[in-house]
Formats: sequence, structure tokens, C-alpha cells
Amino acid sequence: MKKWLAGLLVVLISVVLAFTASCGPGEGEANTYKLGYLGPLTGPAASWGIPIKNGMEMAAEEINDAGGIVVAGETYMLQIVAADDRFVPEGAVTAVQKLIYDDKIQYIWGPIGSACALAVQPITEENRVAIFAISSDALGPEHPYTFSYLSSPTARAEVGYPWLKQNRPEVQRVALMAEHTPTGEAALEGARVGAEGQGLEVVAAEYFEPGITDFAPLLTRMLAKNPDVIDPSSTPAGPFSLIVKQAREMGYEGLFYTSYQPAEEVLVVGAGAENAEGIIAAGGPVYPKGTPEQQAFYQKYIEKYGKEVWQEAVSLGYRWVYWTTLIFEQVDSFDPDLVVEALAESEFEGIVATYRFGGEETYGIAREVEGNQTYLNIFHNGEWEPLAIIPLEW
Amino acid sequence: MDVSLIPQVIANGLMMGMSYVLIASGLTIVLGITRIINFAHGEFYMLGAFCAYYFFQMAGVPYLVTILLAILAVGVLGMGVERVLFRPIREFFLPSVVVALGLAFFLAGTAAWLFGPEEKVVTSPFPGVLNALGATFSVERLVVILIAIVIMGGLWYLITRTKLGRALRGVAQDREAASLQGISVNGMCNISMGIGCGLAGAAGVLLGPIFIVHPYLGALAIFKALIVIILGGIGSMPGAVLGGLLLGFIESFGLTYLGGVTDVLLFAFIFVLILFRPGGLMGRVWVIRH
Amino acid sequence: MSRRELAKWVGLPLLALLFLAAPFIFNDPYYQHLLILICTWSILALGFLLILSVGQFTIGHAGFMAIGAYASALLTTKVGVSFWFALPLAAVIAAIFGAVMGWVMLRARMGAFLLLTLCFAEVVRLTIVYWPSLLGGRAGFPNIPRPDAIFGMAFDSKFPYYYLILFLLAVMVFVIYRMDRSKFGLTFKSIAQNPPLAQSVGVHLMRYKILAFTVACFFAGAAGSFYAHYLTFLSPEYFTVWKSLIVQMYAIIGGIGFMIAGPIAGAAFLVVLPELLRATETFSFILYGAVFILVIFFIPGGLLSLPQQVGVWRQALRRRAKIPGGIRPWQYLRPGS
Repeated sequence: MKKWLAGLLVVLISVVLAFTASCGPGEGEANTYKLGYLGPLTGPAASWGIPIKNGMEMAAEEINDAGGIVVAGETYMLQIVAADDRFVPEGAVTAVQKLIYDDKIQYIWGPIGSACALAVQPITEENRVAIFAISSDALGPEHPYTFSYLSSPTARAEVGYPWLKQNRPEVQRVALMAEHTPTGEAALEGARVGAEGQGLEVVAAEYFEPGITDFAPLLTRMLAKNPDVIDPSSTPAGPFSLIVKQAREMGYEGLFYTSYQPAEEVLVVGAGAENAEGIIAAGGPVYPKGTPEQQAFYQKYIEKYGKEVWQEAVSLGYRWVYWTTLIFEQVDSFDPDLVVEALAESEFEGIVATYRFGGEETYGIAREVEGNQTYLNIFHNGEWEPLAIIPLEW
Repeated sequence: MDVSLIPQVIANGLMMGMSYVLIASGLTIVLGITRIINFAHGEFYMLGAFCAYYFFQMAGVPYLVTILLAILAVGVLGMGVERVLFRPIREFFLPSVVVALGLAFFLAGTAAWLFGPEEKVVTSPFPGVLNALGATFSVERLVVILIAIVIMGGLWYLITRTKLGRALRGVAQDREAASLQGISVNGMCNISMGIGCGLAGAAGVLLGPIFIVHPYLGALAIFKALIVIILGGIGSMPGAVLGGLLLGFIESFGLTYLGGVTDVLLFAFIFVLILFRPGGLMGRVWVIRH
Repeated sequence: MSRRELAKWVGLPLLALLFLAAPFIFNDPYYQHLLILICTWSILALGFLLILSVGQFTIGHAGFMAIGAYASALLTTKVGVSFWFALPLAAVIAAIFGAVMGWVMLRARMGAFLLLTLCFAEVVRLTIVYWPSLLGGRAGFPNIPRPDAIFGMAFDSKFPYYYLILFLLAVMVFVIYRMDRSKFGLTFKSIAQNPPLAQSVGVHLMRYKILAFTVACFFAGAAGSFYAHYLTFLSPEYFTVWKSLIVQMYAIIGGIGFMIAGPIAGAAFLVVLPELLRATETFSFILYGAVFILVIFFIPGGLLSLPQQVGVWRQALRRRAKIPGGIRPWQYLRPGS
């Protein structure tokens, strides 16, 4: 049976050849600086990941058109290298190694989710690669190169309650619900603190398994307690719409408050414009109705990529490129230690708010992004309308 | 344990159960007759859901017509797939597994490419609720149950009362005998795939407004469908109905009273079941020739 | 020198040299990572094929890898055992589970066995998910220590890891080779080909089935332990039924007729393929699926049967005859031949 031997050799050699042929070091311009994106591009979470990557590319293009960045006397054009992790930790582990070892990238936006972030952390920390993940669980003084681009779920959940107390005095009884994940737990507890801190009564607080779409049992229990406002804390847009629809169908006439503002189309189609009327959400600005810069940003994006791929999250990627490259120019170096230090102490004025990194009390190190203001919006006639801008304590 | 919730839990169990029945019955028909585990079955369900989005949501085709269109479109696609991909490898178990998995990736990827990876929502064609017997039923889900029952009824009629149905059953039971009687095994396999995928498509249209629509729906759907037919017995229609309802109720009760641990208990339960009754609830043992 | 001797004395050492030198040829840690993945999944794919060779089809092999992985993680973090004890211990634990579950499950027929392995694997995975206090749950099990330095080599680069997993793979290959050549091998083949006949001549089916299953689980556990200390982080997502299915693909696409080389070739091909497809982004799923289908249709015996397949094609062209229904040499290939 020596044919198998020949076969094995053939397979292995072709694999070797194919690999070396395709994966040569991508020499572009001599002065290109690469930034990385690590996140879902295929698979179920692709609809979150792709807009962020688009935002990054839009920013990179703008910077390049304006002449690139100048660091240590050299001019660099930016290039965004994206690696797909399919939203699974193993995918993230392999993808991050490609970015670090093959593309020689030092700054990566992503991954999305604690599972992926924790999985890649051993590798990124060891290689002094700064990652800006959507995860609060990965932060800590022993991981100085890990940042979180997710503002604290606790802080977000709290935000609306002072406003509610002042402007909606009829709201007294609060029902909380959240997905049974670390993020959900943090958000629910934050909401509880926020509500009770304003003297409101939390009449129900329940967790549900992520992925369920039938909230009837949970809502039955909740509505029996007669809440004035239901706060599904950090539930994503799809399930949130279902919660709204099902609660309304069961006769609930009270208020909904959420700290994760869902996209309009999802809300209209999933819950129905009538059911969704009056929902208050904390989140980003309503770009088409915001400041001139916000409107221009929105217009530019949808012209380039299309309205279906628009998400508030686009600004995350966009902002990251601008902020990080600003620091490169400020410290005049790409060295991670210098950049990370400077980032942790910097403030960045974006079109939505001014940002910095905070969180020392919670994590022991300032690596969690904080904005100096957040927006409250209300859903009216099938669209989000700006309601109030809430300044945040820094 | 909060006893007042029981009517609601039963109602939910029924709703989820019928959903599972719809998805699983197509899979079990294909498996029973062609003996191929169609790992891509979830993708046909997903295509049905996209039919709901493009025909009903976007083009305004009436809902019931959309269901028929989806059955047709997805069913015909299924027959094409069977003729080209499954027929040549039907006799060989291992290759069929690989081909089916490959097809699943292929279809999911194509859907993502053609339709975009974003989630799409389909407005409910039957909004509103009904309060009865101390529980709240959403009208939409009641309609799903109704239409599912009608479809299953039609299927039952087809299989038990028509000549075609007899031929299908013959092939499922004993291929040699069937072909000796002049039944075209190839033809029956093809038709069964058409029916099975058509059912998946119908399920997609019915469940589209309830769950979100996106190209990667298939993976979860096939998993649940597999559990149902394991429970009920391979190739058994009553088994699919029983298994689907059972799964729906177990999940409904479990999630309400026990939380996520239900999953562990569910698989442990199925394990013990298969051990003592390998044919599932209806006792249809699955023989793999390899 | 006959061709067989040529193969044995030149081909094999050449191959061994290739494997040993691989991390030096591919000096990029990213490629080295892929090499490590190839070796790890080869162990699982070999296990799958070993079980297939006694006539059973498992869909839950990743569950035993999970047992080994988490056992090893617990032993080193909570009990303070050194990795070098934890690895064999974890493998033994996985083997014990394998023996026990094998005894329970292998009495079933192929169809039921498949379902039982699926259920078992899911029970294992879900136990991890719903026991966060001990096993980390969905958030994962972090901070698993690296192996202590051995022979003066510290585990701070990919090289020692690669040679460790290569060693495990080599041991498994050796064990399978010896089993195959011994009376066990003959028994396995007879079981696979004709169970009633085998039984009638006094072969204790179950004993041999359990043996094969236990060996496969032992190495799966060892691979799991390795994986845990290589990634230093564990997640239940690493051990899904989907993963077990994909690992089988490695064996089937590599060629089930080639008991040892098949899974390795398949793993090499299918680990590298998605990496090559990265550039295609959205099309990667489509191409990945298409490759599966194309391989089965054009090289049905698996990648390693390509030389034979080419021969068949040449013959067909020469005769210019259309072979009805296509070419299906896997009919003539039995595991272990």
C-alpha cells in the first residue's frame, strides 16, 4: 500500500505550495500602516460586525485622502485588515494569530463578545497587541493592552432613571428583565441601582435564556405585578421588539425603557409602529435629525454602503480609527506601551460626545470607554425622535 | 412552583411544539424514504423564511399565497438538489453526510451573498391576542397551529389515502419489494425530497414573522429537527408529531420552571430513551447500511 | 529495491522529516498554529476512524475531548498538579468515561449509537455551560497554566507545543498501527465486515468494540488536555456536535480507506482551506461547501485516493466509455485496507 504514501506526500506538498503562494507578506505601499478588525463577517453576528468594519474603512479613507498620518517623520497611509472570527472563540483565536503574526498588526478593534475576547487575550497580551473589544469581562490591570469599547452596561442602564423620575412622575413601579449573560446581569443590576436610587420600586427582576422568542410566561408573571415601566436592560433589538409586541398583546399599556436603542426598522416590523409608540431609549443620537456633523456622517455612510448596512455601531469603528491615529501622532510613535498609556489618559471629541477611558474603580485600570453625554430618544410615528441629551458624570 | 402559570405554559408548549412538528416532519420524510440525513434541511427552512420576506413583506403577495409559493419554490429546489446531488450517493452513508453538510454551507453562504447577512423582520400577518381559559394566546401562533394542522392533515391524507402515498410508504418499508412491484425508487425519492423541502419551506413562511429572518437560521433549525425525529423515531410521521409536541412541552415547562438546565435533562432523557427504545417513541429503528 | 521497500525506507523517513521540520519551514507563528491545529484534529479524526473500523459511527467525539480538557484544567488549577501528570491523568479519565459509555452505548445498532453519542456529547457540553462555578460556563475557563518546562525547553513559543502534539499524534499512530497489524486488527476488520459471522466464530464483539472506543477516547482526552494548556482558555463552544461533525469530514474527505494517513491528510487540507478562503470573505461558506461536494463527487475515495482516481479517469478516457452512474471506488475500500 505505498500509493497512500504518494498520495499523502502529494496532498501535503500541494498544501504547502498553495499556502506559501497565497500568503506572502502583503507588500502594499512601502509606507502603509495596518490596523486590524477582528469580528464576525459571516455567520449570525455578521450584521453587527460588517457595519463597524465599514465605519473603520470610511475613516481610513478620509484620513488617507487628507494625506495620511505622520509618525516619526514618515507619512503612512492607513489600511484596514479584517479577519473573520465567525463569532466563535476558536475562530477568533485563529484569526487573531493571522493578524498578529502574518499581518504584523499591533492594534485591533474587536472581538465582539466576552467569549472571543477572553479567548484571544492570552495571545494579544503576550504580544503587546492592543485590542478594543466589546466586552467588560476582559478588563483588568493584568491585561493592560485590553480596552473595552462597550460603555459599562451598568452605567447605561442607570442613565434614564433620573430623567424618568423628573419627567414622568407617574412611573413608580419598575419591572426589569435581562438575558442571562454576564452583560445582562451587569445591566440589570445597574438598572436596579438606577431605579432604586431614584426612589422607584422594583417590582420584578427576571432573567431569561438568550435566544428564546416566546416571552409570554415571563411577561405573564411580570404584568401581574402591575409595573409602570418595563426595562429589558440590555436586550438586543430583535428580542426587544418581540417583548414589546407580546407585552402589548397581553394588554400592557405602560412605558418601555431600554438602554440599547434598537434600530427603527427592526422595531417597526418586529413590534409594530403602534406598539412601539412611546418607547424611550438611551443610546446614540438620531443621526438624521442630529447635529450637522451627525447628519453629514449619516448621509455619507448610506451613500457609500447603503441604508440596510447602517447601524449606530458604525460610529464605533469610525471613532476608533480617528482616536487611535490621533494618539499615534500625539506620541509620535507606534510603540504599544507609549500609545496605550497615552490613550488611557486622552480625551477624544467625536461627533456624538467626548470620550475617554475610565473604570478604575470597577476594574482597577482605566480601560473602559466613557462618553460625557448620552442621548435619550423617544419612538414616535415609526421613527426615533431626539428627546434629551443627558450629561454624564465624569 | 407557580400553578397559575400552567395554562400559559401549556399554550406555549403547544405553539412551540407545532412549530417543531412542521420543521421536523419534512426531515423525517426525506430520511425515511431516501435514507439520507439532509443536514441542509434547515437551509430549506431558511429559504422559506426568505420567501416570506420577499413575497409577503416586500412584494405584498397575500400570506396564504406566499405559503403555497414557498412550498412550490423550495420543493422544486429540493427535487433538483436530490436529482443532482443526492441520487448518485444515496446508497452510501458517509459520502451522503459530507455532501449534505457541504450543501448546508453552500446554501447558507449563497443566501448571505444574495440576500445580505442582516436580519430581516417580517410583519405579523395576524396581529393581536386572544384571552381564553386563563391564558393569553397570540392570534398569530394560533393561526400557525391551525395552518400546520391543515398541512399535516393534507400530508396524512396524501400518505395514507392516495396511490402516491402508498408508493412512498412502500419504498420506505422495503425498497426491493417496492421496485419489484414497479414503483420507481428514484422517482419516489425525488418526490419525497420535494415534499420534505416543501414542508420546510412552509414552516419557514409560517415561522418567519415569529422569529427573525437571516441566512444562518438553518443551523439551529436542523438541530431541533434532529432532536424531534430522534425522539419520535426516524421516518415516522406520527413520531414527528409526537416528538415535536413533546419537545415543545418539555421546553416550555422546563424554561419556565427550571431554567436552562432543561437542556441537560432533555438530552439525558433522550439518551435513556434511545437506550431502551432505540426506535424512539414510535419504535422505528434506524438501519444504516454502509 | 522493491517499491514497497522504497516506500518503507525512503518514503516514510521523508515524511517523518517533513513533519519534524515543519515548524522550521513555516517560521511564522500563525502557520505554526495551523500545524498544531492539524495535529490536534488529526488525533480526533483518527479516533473517529478507529471507531468506524469496528462498525460504529460516532457524532460525539468532541465530548471526550472536552472531558480531557476540563479535567486537565481542573487538575492543574484547582488541585495544583503539574501538567505532565495532568495530561496522562486526563487521558485516563477520558478513557474511563469512554470505557463506561462504550459499554453502555456500543451494544446499540449503528443508527441508535449515533444518536446516543450525540446526546452524550451534548450532556457533557451543557454540563459545562450550566456549571459556571466549577467549569466556567459560557464565559469560559481562563488562566490555564502552560506546561512546565521539560528537557530545558520552556513553553514560551509554539515549537515545544508543536512537538508535544506531534509526539501524541505519533504515539496514537503507532498504537493504531500495532493494533491493526495484530490480531486485534484482523478482528476489527472481521467485525466491520460481517458481525454475525465474527460472532459465530467466537469473537467477543463487545470487548473489541469497547477496546477501540476506549483507545479513541484516551487520545481524545489527551488531545483535549493539550488543547487546554495550549490555548490557556477553554470554552464549551470548542466542543459542540458541529465540531464533531467537522472532524469526521476530515477523515472522510481524507479517505476512509486509509486508516492512518487519511484523517491526517484530511485534517491538513480542511484546516488550511478556510484560511486560504479568508480572502473571499462572504464567499467563504459557499466555496467551503462546494469543496465538500466536489471532493465526494470527483474523488470519492478521498483525497489520498487521488492517484488511483487519476488512473481510473485515464482508463475511462482511454476506453472513451461513459461509466454509468459515475465512479465509486469507495465500495472497494474498507477501513484499514
